[in-house]
Amino acid sequence: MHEINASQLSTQIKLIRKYLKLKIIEDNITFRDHASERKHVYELITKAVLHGESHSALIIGPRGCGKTALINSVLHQVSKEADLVNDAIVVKLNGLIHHDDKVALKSITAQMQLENAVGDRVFGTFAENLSFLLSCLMSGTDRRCKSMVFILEQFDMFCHSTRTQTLLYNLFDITHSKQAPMCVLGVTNRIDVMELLEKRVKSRFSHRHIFIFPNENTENSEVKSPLSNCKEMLVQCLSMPLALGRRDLPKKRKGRKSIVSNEEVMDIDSTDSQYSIPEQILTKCRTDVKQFQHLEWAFLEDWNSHVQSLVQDQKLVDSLEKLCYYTVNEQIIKDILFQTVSKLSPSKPYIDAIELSNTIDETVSSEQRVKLLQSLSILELSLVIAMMHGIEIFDGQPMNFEMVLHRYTKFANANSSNQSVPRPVVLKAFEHLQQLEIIMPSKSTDSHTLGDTSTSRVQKEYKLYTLAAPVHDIKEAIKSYKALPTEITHWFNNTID
Amino acid sequence: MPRRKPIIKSVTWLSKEIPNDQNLNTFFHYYQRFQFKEIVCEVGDYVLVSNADAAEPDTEGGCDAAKILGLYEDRSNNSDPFRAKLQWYSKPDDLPKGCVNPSEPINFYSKEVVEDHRPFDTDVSIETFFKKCNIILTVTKDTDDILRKEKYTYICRYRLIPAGRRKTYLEPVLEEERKALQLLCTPSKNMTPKTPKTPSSLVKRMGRISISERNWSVTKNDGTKLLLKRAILADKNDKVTPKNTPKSSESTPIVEIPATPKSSSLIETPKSSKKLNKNNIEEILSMELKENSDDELPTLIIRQHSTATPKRKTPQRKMYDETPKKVLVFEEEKETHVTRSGRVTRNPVTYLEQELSPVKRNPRRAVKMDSDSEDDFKPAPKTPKMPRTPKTPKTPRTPRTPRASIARTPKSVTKRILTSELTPTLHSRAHSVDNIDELLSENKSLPGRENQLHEILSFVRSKLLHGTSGCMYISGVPGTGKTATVNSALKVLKEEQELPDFQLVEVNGMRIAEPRQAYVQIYKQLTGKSVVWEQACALLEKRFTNPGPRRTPTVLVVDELDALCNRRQDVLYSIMEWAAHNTALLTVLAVANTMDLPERALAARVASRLGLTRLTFPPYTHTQLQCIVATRLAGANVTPDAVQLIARKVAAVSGDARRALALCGRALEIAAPQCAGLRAVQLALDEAASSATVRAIRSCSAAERLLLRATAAEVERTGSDETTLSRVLATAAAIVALDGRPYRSATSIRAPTPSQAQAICARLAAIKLLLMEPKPSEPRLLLNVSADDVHYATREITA
Repeated sequence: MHEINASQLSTQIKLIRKYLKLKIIEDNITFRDHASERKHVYELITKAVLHGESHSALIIGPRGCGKTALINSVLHQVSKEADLVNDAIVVKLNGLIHHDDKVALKSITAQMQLENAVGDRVFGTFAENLSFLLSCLMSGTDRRCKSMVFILEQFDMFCHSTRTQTLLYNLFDITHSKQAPMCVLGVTNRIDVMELLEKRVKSRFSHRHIFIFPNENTENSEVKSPLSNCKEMLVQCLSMPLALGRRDLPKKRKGRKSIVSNEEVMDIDSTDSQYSIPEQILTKCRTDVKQFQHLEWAFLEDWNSHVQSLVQDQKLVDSLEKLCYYTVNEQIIKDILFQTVSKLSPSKPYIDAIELSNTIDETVSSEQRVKLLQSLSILELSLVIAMMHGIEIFDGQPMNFEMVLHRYTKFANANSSNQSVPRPVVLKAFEHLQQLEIIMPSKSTDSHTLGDTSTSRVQKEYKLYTLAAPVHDIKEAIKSYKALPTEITHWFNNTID
Repeated sequence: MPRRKPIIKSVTWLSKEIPNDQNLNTFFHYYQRFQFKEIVCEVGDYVLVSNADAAEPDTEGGCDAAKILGLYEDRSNNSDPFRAKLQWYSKPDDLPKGCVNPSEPINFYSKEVVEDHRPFDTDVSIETFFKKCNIILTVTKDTDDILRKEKYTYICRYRLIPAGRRKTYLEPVLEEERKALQLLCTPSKNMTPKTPKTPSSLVKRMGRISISERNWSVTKNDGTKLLLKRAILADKNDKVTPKNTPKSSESTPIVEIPATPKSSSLIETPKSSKKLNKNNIEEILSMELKENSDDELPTLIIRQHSTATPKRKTPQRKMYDETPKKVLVFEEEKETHVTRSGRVTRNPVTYLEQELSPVKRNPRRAVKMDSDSEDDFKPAPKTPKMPRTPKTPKTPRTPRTPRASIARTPKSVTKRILTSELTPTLHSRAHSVDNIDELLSENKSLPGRENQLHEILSFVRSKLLHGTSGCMYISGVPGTGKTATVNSALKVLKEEQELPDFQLVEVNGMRIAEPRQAYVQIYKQLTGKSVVWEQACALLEKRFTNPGPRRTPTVLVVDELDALCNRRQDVLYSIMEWAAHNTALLTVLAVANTMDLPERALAARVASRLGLTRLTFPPYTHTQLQCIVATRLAGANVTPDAVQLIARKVAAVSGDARRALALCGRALEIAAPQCAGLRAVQLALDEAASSATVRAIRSCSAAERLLLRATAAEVERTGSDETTLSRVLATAAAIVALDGRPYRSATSIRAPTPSQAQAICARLAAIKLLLMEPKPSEPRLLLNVSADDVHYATREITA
């Protein structure tokens, strides 16, 4: 359709690849659907920032459904509408990083830039810091201080079950007693998170639960078809904003269908913001829009139509349906798309539907353990089979090396074609299996009372092990093992010998 | 001298027993003089007594001064027989807040004490004496220069007289001065008509000066000549030349003693001042005679006390030692002119003002000047025409402030935190909040908790009135107003005039890093000092277990008591142990949310000390909740039906007022512009109920739902909650076989493979629809939601 020479094509493809990668990986602001939930969060944050009110809420939803993206997009919007830098402090905590109240407190102090913090360093002991922070927050009763927005990711990790939930108690107590203007948003994927809270903490929480579930149409809370959602997302992620492209169309063409192209331009402009990366993300990644100025408008149009045709492809739709059958996690879909985009090159300028389907298949049915079993040597695989048989016969009883060796030698003697292996070599192979965690030392031995100290004193030949690989996986591995001696396949299938 | 147990006898009497006829009790033996360690004192001497409540009782700062009124040995008391009767002297920091008239602030010196007549225990053990000290009782205008920086010497200018249970006031400590002041204050008004010739303006001014400025002592001739004489004689540094300048036109002789005559040169030698002193006496004596002859007219004698001591101060320094009290200087100057010329004219002394104004206004610069001005200003005093100004006392506080501020700046943040100098503040916002007033006004009434409030009030009241210690355990589920009620009760008690003043200490178990930090918090609130917990524990132990004669009662509120439970329970034990001592005057209000905490969690030794006084806050009933919502959200746009629905719903579950209020707020938010009706309330209730299980299951992918169904079926079939993955997969295979092709392009009708299933189960376990025990070969599964929910949510795919 367009006559583009090779070098031009390669630059175009490289730019598109770069842009799409950025879009898939870095864009944590763009948020689709869930309008009412988004409005709720938006109201909470604006109330805290603009009116100095105090609120607390929990955002609950499965992994990869866009909880953090929701907050990011709301904060992005609020920062445009209000003076977020001068009127508010956003404190972000993550339960995985701030695993303990001490670490969390230091981070809060540093993020709030209190007086006992210099840069990222916080001085004083935990007790001092806690009382200082609390008295700071008490001083905010007059509402002349900056509002605080606390975002607690992995909220469930802050609900320590063994220790007291000091941090949560104090945060919720402040929002409840309206000491300082503060909005506490907990983000979690556990729907039973309320059961983790101490009752005094629970009582201080405002009981606002904001649920976000994928594929839910918020208007009537009906489940949207996952497939259509998936297609939408694919188009969203892979399409390029046409505004980026240079419009050096020949004049005569434009003149010929001026009305049509004008309409097109209008149409494009409206959809433009939909596909482009927000400005903030570009600055965050230290990239400039000017980098992409060499993109040809015509080429982009071509690319987008290609993406549209991709979605129409029946094969791809089938594999997308398969993907949706197994998972509705948006993050997984994004990962697949990223893999596909990464494969783009000047020699392969378009996304191949079959390749994309293969990536999906790999993701859906990842058989890592089968691959691991296939990587074993024949001796090691024989030991696994011997152990599998032994466990089958003894009904799940753990086995030690001697027992496995006994079964293996029995098999080896029966089949003369197998050359005999010295005992130390077999022991080494057994140890290798243990390192790969295909076999695991059994914890629940019959002698409970003796405990671990006695088992560690046992000679390694007599330590008890259980097979950690499921039988299905072993079967799969044997089936597709290349150049496996037939005796072994036979032995595997013949349980009793 | 009885020497029954010479080994433990720490106090020896150095005088004979004073026969006491009135005292029929043979146990008490009175003495005049004693020796305790190196202290040798007798009745009438001043001593420093260790204060067990202070931070460091064995230093000068941790002691209170007192005068020994009597010494005796109580032979009936074997443990502590040597007693003393004392008159207490308090440090200015220990004075009650209301005693100083805010319009006339008193500048206390660092080594000043105030004779304290508050009803403290005046009977103490001699063994608590720390050092012998000296207190100089003097007139109010005296400065601490008379102390001559001697150790353990204090100045006393005022005494504190209680007037009612809480009210106190200060008055001069010397009786003569009191009398003088009284006479001056009251008759000065009556006097004016009596002496019509005295210009009223002058009298007024004099009266103002004498009352407002402490550097002036005004005496009247009502038998106070003696005082005047004595005061002048006693003042060793006085180098004033009194000048009797009776007004020629007036019959009332006004004796004016200007501070320094203009003629007196700056380089006065001590000798000359002595000479002058002699002159002083002579003149005063003559003056006295003169006045005696003129009995009917009262004479005002104004004496300006000059503290400028040429013996100690170099002449150059004098200028810069001027304190901001310069107004006084002018008053004095003006007076001089008035009296001398007989005209009330204001003689402008502008030169002085120019020189001094920077000192006065900018204390920081003053210090700087002090350092480098020695050379620059040297010639200034030498100029003979320069008006000689009397030296106002160099108060120790004025120079201290700028020095401290300079010293603070280079300190690192670490040091500042350690010394807890930081003021907790938050960054202020750029744009102010529009509805500040709305947020600040909140109804604090507590409907439905009148009985509990009354019980707390009467408990604390009785403990305070009887001067005993005690402990009350307050329990109730969260959100039943325990802390709010305690707080409002204490607020009421603080305002009650009949009760003795008490110190309120609040500790919240959840607001401290670990249980032992409670000591630090308590100690900080008692004394304002931050120490480490070991030290705080030891000091508190000392404070509460030793009897303290000057102790104010303490009310300790321990909120979230259960959070203070550690394994040893030492914190709770010591708090309860202190509250068991009657001398500690410690009332503990322990608040927790479990009724049976003493029986369940506390060790027997702690529970026994907790005592039997318990107060339970029952959950609010729906009528109470209705009332609370109505009072708190007065004026809110809610229908009564809606309030009732919320009240009933909450009362049925928890009776938590916080929850009811939160729901109401949310309902208002949902209804936004309209009146919050039943629909909005129902929505808010649904939202708070957090029953999203069905929604969560519906939003799962098909494979996830399949496994959930299989698990539910397996759980129902076996009856046990736990199954294994392989069994679930077998069931799933059966379900798939019934359902048909899972997706259109599926090659076969089969269940997910084990590894796929494991990944799916991991995802389900992440949102806790399933609980999974990660055992690599055979994961065990536990359904975390009810099987009915699963069936209900997955009905669509079977249909």
